[in-house]
Amino acid sequence: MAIRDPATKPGGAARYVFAWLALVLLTLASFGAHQLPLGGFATPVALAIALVKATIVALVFMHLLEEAFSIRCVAVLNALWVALLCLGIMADVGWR
Amino acid sequence: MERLPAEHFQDLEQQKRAAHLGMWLFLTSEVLLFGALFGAYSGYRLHYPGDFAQAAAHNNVWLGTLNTLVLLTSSLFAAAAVHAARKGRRRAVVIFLLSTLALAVAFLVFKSIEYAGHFREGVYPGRHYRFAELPARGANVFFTLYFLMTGLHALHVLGGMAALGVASVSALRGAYGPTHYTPLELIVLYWHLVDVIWIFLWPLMYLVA
Repeated sequence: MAIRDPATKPGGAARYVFAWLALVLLTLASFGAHQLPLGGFATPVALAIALVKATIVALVFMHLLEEAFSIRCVAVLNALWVALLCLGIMADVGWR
Repeated sequence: MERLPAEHFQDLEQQKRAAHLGMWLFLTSEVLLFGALFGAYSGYRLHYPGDFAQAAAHNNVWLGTLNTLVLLTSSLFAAAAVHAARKGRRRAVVIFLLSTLALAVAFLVFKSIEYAGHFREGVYPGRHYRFAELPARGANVFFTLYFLMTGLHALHVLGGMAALGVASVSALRGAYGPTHYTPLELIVLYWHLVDVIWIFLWPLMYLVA
């Protein structure tokens, strides 16, 4: 399977700018949410926004959308292992 | 001159795909390195929720947010450099790479200002911690993790800057164009990972108050 070149697609450069705009807006949203009295939801909300931002960077800037299936697997498993590690440690501390 | 693949590859496409996979596997090792620290943060955060919230509130959220915007913009310029190389705009490649480097310097300057503020107050890692305002054990642990994680990230910024510097010199010599840009792509992939790590560090170190 060939790697598809995003530079050959129409609007190739514009989507980087749109991705950046989305990232800036999400950063401001996260900053805004920080000012709200969200209590225990503050961290999950901030991390959910961070996850969306990281996904945008991976898909658009890192060209994961155009990469081969094997590379997409590596990227998804990266996120999965870290999440598993953190959740496992939190479970251990929480239930001890 | 037509570029030929190394003899153990069928064609340039296969060679490029192998290079990308190799780079992503290297990035995996980086993710696991930081993953261990994020894991430690998760455990201690659950153990000292109040202390962590107070310590995070002490960090300068404005500087942290500014640095987030700086790194996100540097990622845009880095992606634009690869795009320009693919399109054969050699001058634009150099300009975008130098812009990325300038923002990397700005990031480190802002981080240094933050560190200097911490040191003035006695906020140091580990047993050297002597910040009277937040004497709790959890705050000490938070700032130890803060220095460990942001310090390791700053080292990665320096590493990325060195690689971007090499890429800039190559770009100045006209090395990258529509038929040859994979080395630039790989360096820029590393830079994006540095950005992704900061995307998670920012809320955990500044917004959990």
